[in-house]
Amino acid sequence: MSEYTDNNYTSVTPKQTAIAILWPSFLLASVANVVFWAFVDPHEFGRITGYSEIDRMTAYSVGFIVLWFFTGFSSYLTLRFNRPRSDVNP
Amino acid sequence: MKTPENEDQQSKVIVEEFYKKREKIQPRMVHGLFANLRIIAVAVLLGIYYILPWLRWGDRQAVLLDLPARKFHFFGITFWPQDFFFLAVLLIIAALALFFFTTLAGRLWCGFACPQTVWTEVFMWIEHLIEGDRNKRMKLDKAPMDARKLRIRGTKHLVWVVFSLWTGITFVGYFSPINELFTGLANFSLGPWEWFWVLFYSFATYGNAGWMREQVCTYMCPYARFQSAMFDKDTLIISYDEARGEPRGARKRNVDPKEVGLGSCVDCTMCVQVCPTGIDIRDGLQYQCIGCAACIDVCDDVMEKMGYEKGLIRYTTEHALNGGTTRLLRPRIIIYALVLLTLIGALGVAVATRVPLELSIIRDRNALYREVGYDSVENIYTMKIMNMDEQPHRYTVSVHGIDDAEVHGLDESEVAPGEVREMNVRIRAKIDNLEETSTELQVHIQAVDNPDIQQDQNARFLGPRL
Repeated sequence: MSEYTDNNYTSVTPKQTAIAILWPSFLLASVANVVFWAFVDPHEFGRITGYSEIDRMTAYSVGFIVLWFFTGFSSYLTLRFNRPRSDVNP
Repeated sequence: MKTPENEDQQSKVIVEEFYKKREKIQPRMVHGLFANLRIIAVAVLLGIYYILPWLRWGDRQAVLLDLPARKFHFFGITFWPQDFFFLAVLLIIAALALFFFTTLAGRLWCGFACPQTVWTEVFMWIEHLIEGDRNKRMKLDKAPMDARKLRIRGTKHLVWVVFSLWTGITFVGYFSPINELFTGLANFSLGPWEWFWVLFYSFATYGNAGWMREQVCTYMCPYARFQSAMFDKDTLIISYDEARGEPRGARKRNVDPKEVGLGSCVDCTMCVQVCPTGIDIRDGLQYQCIGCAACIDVCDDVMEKMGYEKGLIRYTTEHALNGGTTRLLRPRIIIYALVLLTLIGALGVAVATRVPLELSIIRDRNALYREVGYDSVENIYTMKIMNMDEQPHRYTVSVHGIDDAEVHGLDESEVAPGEVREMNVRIRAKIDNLEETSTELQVHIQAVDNPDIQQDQNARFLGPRL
């Protein structure tokens, strides 16, 4: 079975799949990261979670990567659920 | 007959149209009214971008978003993360302004103000200077790699990289004092995150403005995908006047087009050659069109040379194209404008009257009240004072709402800038002065050295059943 099917929006090359997952999730992770750290001081966060002595720049950066992972996973699921039946059925 | 094979073939064709290999676009340089407007926009916007971090305010950088210290300096004002509200309102204003201008005049943002457009424009000027005009560049693309091509390409990329690095350093200069940044760069003593972000932003500039260009607008920009929802029939769009232009065709100069049965379009394809996204505007409105108006400038030139009236491609509206009149003041525009003006006014007032002090007071839930002596009761509160000013302050606290109520247990020592002082305080009142079991109190805090710095908070005071 070819990777191309009647639903050509979701059947794309691996490179395009990667971009479709990584790019929107990057945008949203950036926004979420700013909002989260605007309300939570990394020092306070470290005190609550027990990771004291956390450097603020590290917290912002690691926070971004963690959020990117979550938003990326959401993009990945959307792409999977959007696949046509014919792609899933053997 | 429909076989699985030819079905597969058909879908392949569609897919390849959606995701066909990008052909490199070499836009022709254009001169004219809109090109000049874009030069002004580029100069002003990039001027602000590159100069702003160098401005000083007193003994510090005028605009500095100090992330490690969680302080955001804007000229005379210092914002804290607690001021997030202002940022939220500012973003709402930005979004509304985008809606407003899109409804009014289409993709003004894309064509004249978007960083993608602005930096791509500069990169294309550099390219034009080093590689020459469109024809020369296309020839160079086709030429095999030899010493000359390597030299030209190398020079271009070198200039691009230097410009990108300058851009990246400037970007980080908004977050880290730019003077120290340059000294740090000179003696290689920058921190790892500063290095990372300088290189990240430089790479993004180089990649987006040098290589990706119109693909960012076509494939990556969310705004390009939903901007058409803000259009209506009175929105200014760049459009080819099909009724006047068709049938298109080549002809000699000074020939009356009517005699040879042609429209005004001489089919010179100039509009296609100048288009930075490589579309043909004569095919109608397309979402790839970023509204840069390059085709208007070039077509007007051609029309002038031919001795025809200008404006075969022009800013117009769907209504006007269909022979109607354009309504500028329509409900959508008026509502956007009113909301926008209200929000800008409200934000201005809020920032101007902003008090750099925050107070929160929460009653201790574990105890109702405590009797003190024969005639008084006490409530316990957790009080937080945040000094959002740049100077340290001492504060006094007073209570209103119950006669002769007193505050005990205050820590009246100086609160440093940015410090949050948390303390347990007791408010004491005479039972005779209580009119109800539960009374609303106003807690007033006041900086000792500045009468303008004051805040009020309400708190509840519980007493015995009367």
